[in-house]
Amino acid sequence: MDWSTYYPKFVDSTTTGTPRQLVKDVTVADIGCGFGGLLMALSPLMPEELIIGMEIRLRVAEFVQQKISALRVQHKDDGLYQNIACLRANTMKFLPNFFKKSQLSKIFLCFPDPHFKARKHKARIVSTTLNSEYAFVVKPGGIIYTITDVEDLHVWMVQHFEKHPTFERLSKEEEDSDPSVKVMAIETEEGKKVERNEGQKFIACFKRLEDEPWIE
Amino acid sequence: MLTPFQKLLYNGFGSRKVLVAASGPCLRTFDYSSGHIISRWSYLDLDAPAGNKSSDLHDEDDAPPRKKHKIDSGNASDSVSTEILIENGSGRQKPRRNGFAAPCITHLTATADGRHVVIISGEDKAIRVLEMTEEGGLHQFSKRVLPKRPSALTLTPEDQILCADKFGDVYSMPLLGQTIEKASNVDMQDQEPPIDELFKPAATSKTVHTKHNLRILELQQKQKKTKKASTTELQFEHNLILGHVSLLTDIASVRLQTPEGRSRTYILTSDRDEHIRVSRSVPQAHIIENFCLGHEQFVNKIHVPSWQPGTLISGGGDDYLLVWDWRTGTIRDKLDLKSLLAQSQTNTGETTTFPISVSGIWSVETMSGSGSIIIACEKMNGLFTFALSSEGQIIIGQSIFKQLSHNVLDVAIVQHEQRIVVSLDIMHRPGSGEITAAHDHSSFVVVLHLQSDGTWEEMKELIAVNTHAQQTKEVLTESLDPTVWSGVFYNAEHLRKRGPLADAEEEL
Repeated sequence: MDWSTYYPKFVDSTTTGTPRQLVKDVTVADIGCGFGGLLMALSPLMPEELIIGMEIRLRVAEFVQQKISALRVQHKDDGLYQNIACLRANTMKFLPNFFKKSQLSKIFLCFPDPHFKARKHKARIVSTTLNSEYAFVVKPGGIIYTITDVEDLHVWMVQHFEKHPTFERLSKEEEDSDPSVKVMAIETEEGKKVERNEGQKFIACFKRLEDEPWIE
Repeated sequence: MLTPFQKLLYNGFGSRKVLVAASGPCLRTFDYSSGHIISRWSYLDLDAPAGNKSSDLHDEDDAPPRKKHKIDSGNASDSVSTEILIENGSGRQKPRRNGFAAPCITHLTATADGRHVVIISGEDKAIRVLEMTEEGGLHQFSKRVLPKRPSALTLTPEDQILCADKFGDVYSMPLLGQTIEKASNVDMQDQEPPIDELFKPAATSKTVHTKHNLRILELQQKQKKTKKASTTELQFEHNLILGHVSLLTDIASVRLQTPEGRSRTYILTSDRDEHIRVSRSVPQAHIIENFCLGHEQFVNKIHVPSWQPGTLISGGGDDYLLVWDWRTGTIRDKLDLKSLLAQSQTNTGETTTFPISVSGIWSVETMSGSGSIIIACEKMNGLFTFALSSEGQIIIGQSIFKQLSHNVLDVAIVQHEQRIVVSLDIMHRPGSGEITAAHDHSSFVVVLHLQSDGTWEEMKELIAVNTHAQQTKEVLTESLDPTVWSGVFYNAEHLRKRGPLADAEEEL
């Protein structure tokens, strides 16, 4: 994976070779980032982290890329928005192609497609089998943030993460004290729409635990 | 005269040496030495009224799912076959395009002791365990129907069945598991939240979502009551242990010794989306240890040689094979099959233009602690073989393409004799899927013997199997149209993705 075109300001100039290496790894992923509202909000909040938005709809991903380029130009002087980028990806299939083991410290799953039909539940972004892949790319202690306005889906996501031995749900207090949770709730486009509709928002966060010792 | 064997297996059980051969829906056993046909088991007989039911411990009245009967091969160009219309549950009619009234065997394996043979067919979604009799015959011990079409099968060193389906899920189940009242073990099973008696819509009207989802929601709201969750619980012990979001193509279970002398078992899985995943074995299969990333096309087969358990050989839609240190996910070596083929064809003047699809990888261990790797490709009349060093490297100079008279369908390993029995497709023209007339003297199988220099020599033995296969009066009651068989024999190439918008449906 060549990240140098996504974060040109973070290319390691002391090394040569292709692909050009970055001075640090991407550590935060917004999976299904949509129009990128959360990325823009997280950028100043976590200036030390490289944040990637991943979006399956090609045109939406292109839009977010253009928006980030425009923001970078506008903020030439203060150098903001250099730490966010967006790429088109089907993460349900290709997550391990982008990140190595334990690379990420945070994954955001904001307002994912609820896939109401039971037949389409396999297409949901959270399932016990898929959670193993999230566990692979997230380091122990890392956190997966979920938010939805569909209670059914919320229950589904909680059930499937809690059933996975590598994840543990954060307590209400832990959630409340995490600034990322607040940003996630108000800064995504979907979050704003829900607010206008006076709908409900369901939040659940899960900590990635250490792998259990081998049963040999 | 019989039809070619799409699957072939050597099975030693006690003093019995048996070749188990699958022709379409039929499974026959041959005496390895004399070539006599010992027994015949067939899906066709299962539908026959009464009679030989005695061997079926598990009756067939739990009708196989009738919802979707898809063809064995998506290779539409090859399967312009007779279309048999069958009725499915909802009353609609769908053609069953494999041309058989019975499922065809897609996977065949046996336990280490040879007592049990396990078969699956994508058509009826069932895993069947057959028991070998003293005489070398087979009768069905159990039948377990999976929710989705199975696409890969293996047995663990502990004789657990691992079976994957085309939706990417892997299930484990005991070899001799019985049908039970309620699936007791639902470890990672997707459990639906309890549904209230009365309908409860999946979301409120305040939910913000796409038009499509809103429409589904409206439909839901029109319904008075929800039906019970449509996925019926499986009536046997099974665990959903891991899953890919891709068609799962192959699965291997490997036991390794750690430097401290402890034994660890892993599960290796490959998929249509170029991935090979390394997970811990049950009960820790939820922990992914590694990925082997490097293929550019679908991975169809993975193989771990017995003398090099830390080495993995993988192949599929790429022109090359990869040799891995699978514990670290690093590529140790690469073998370009196309150039190897080109080398051998400069001698014969032929050229191969069609894409390469690896359809099988096997190995035979030698006394010296190394061994030979054997590769078959779809619609190719020969085998690639190469020697693998004890360090897991391809030994240069011992890589060859061994030409054979017909396309290779399967290879049975006779390890103790350092021989292989190769099943040939005598129905189709060598090097293609084109139909040709089989001659009465065509060889169903050839036997190759591994030489000390790493080459394979054709043996004049086991002619008897051919003679018996040629001379038997027994024929399938089903169509003998070779176009039908093409779909049974060749189903790797259709895994190749076509066009840049392969996952376009997900863009919606």
